[in-house]
Amino acid sequence: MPRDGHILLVEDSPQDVELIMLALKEGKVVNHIDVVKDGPEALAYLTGRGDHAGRDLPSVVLLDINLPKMSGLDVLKEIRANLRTRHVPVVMLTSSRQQEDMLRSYDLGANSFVRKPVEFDKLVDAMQQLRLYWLLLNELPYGEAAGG
Amino acid sequence: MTWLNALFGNDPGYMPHGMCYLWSPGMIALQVGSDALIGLAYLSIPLTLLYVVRKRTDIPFNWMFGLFGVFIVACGFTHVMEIWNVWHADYQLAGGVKLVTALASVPTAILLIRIVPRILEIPTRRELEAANHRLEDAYRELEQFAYAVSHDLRAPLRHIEGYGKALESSLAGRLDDKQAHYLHSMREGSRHMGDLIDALLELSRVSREHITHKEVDLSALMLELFREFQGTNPERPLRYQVQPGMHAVGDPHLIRVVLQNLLNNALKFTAKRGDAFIECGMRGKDGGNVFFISDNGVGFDMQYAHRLFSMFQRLHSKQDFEGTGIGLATVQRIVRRHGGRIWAEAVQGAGATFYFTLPGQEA
Repeated sequence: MPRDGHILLVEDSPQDVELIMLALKEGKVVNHIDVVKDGPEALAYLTGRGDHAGRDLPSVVLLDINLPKMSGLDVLKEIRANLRTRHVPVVMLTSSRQQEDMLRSYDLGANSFVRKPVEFDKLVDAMQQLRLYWLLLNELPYGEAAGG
Repeated sequence: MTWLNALFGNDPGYMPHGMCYLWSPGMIALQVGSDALIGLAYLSIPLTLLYVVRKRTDIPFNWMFGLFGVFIVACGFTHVMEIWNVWHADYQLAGGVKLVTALASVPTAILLIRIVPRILEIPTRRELEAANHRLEDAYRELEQFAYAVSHDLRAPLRHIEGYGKALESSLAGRLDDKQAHYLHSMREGSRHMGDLIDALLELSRVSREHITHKEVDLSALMLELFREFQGTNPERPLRYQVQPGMHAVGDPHLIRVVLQNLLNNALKFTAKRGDAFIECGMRGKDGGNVFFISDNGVGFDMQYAHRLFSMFQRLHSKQDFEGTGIGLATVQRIVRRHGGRIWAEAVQGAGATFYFTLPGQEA
């Protein structure tokens, strides 16, 4: 069963990780956050492979588009292709709102698309909104999504 | 009158051509039929040329088409004369027509030879296509470059702003006014650069995006924008007026960007007035409707009107009015992509009016 209020952040930039963590703290988002640095690790986490054996699914995945090894879009494709993970909400996080990236993301089944704002206060705001929606308001088909 | 007589006088010494054909019906039919067809064709060709030249005023050497036209019409008349001569021996008249043809043909022939080098200079279709491809490639590269720059500049900027904020928070209460001001200015700078990058991205987007052509209700759109603004700024005193029934044909999203930018502009420059009034309307002018958005804000000096729509040009100091200097460049690009025009008039201290045209329903 997925653990309630668990967030998986897939982000390779240590500065972005730090700032997002600061924003979550500033926004009083107290939920548990796990951070992985690239696509393969994110997929291992989500499918409970290797070091991540026995892990539960997060309530939401915050997925950066520009990742080393495999792009966020490829990770998203894999998540949606896997029976265990296909219903996990995925929020794409990016630097810009390039139309092509947005269209590809939604085509591949992203649940939402958020641009990391330059202004820190807006990042805090975004994190609060994300928590409010994905961790409190949104309902998930747990039975189906349940796995290891 | 003697020359007329000479021209039309049936000199008894001449015989009509029919005599040479021994009035053989087959021969007459062959000669007359062929001349009639040639004559008709020669008279219709100049009409076609005339039509082409009038439709395509850009065709080089179009005066050459005119000369050709005269020459071919004259040739046509010589064939009409051939038919006439089968029964009437008016060889003087026929000779006169031939002379006119000769006079038209000689300059045509000479001028044609003289423009040959210039005709050969005209780029071939293939050369034009190749040049076009090179331009397209360069344009695409430029767009990609602009995008990459904008995209990749945002991340470090976010870090500067974010860590600035983190520093500010962790030093809260321990900074003196000057230090706080320094830190604040650094964050302000990153925010402004963020706005600039966003505006540049928007500008590049409106230049690339495919334009759709739909009927757009400008009045409804404008009212919606006014209401949106009042919803988020209820404390701001503002009177506005929107003329009903304004329509244009264009891309709804891009036209919205135009109206939004012009409205933002008007709002910005009336911000310091307690009696701000913004009006959006339409004036009929020959060749289409002219839409306008006017305000009673600070206006600008008409001397600098030509700089309004250039990128990064600002007519007011940043201290007085914030802005990126890209908004109006974006507006102009969208209006031009729709085949319209945009210009502005203002009185310093008394307000500004921005005019623009968009294709109407028949377009």
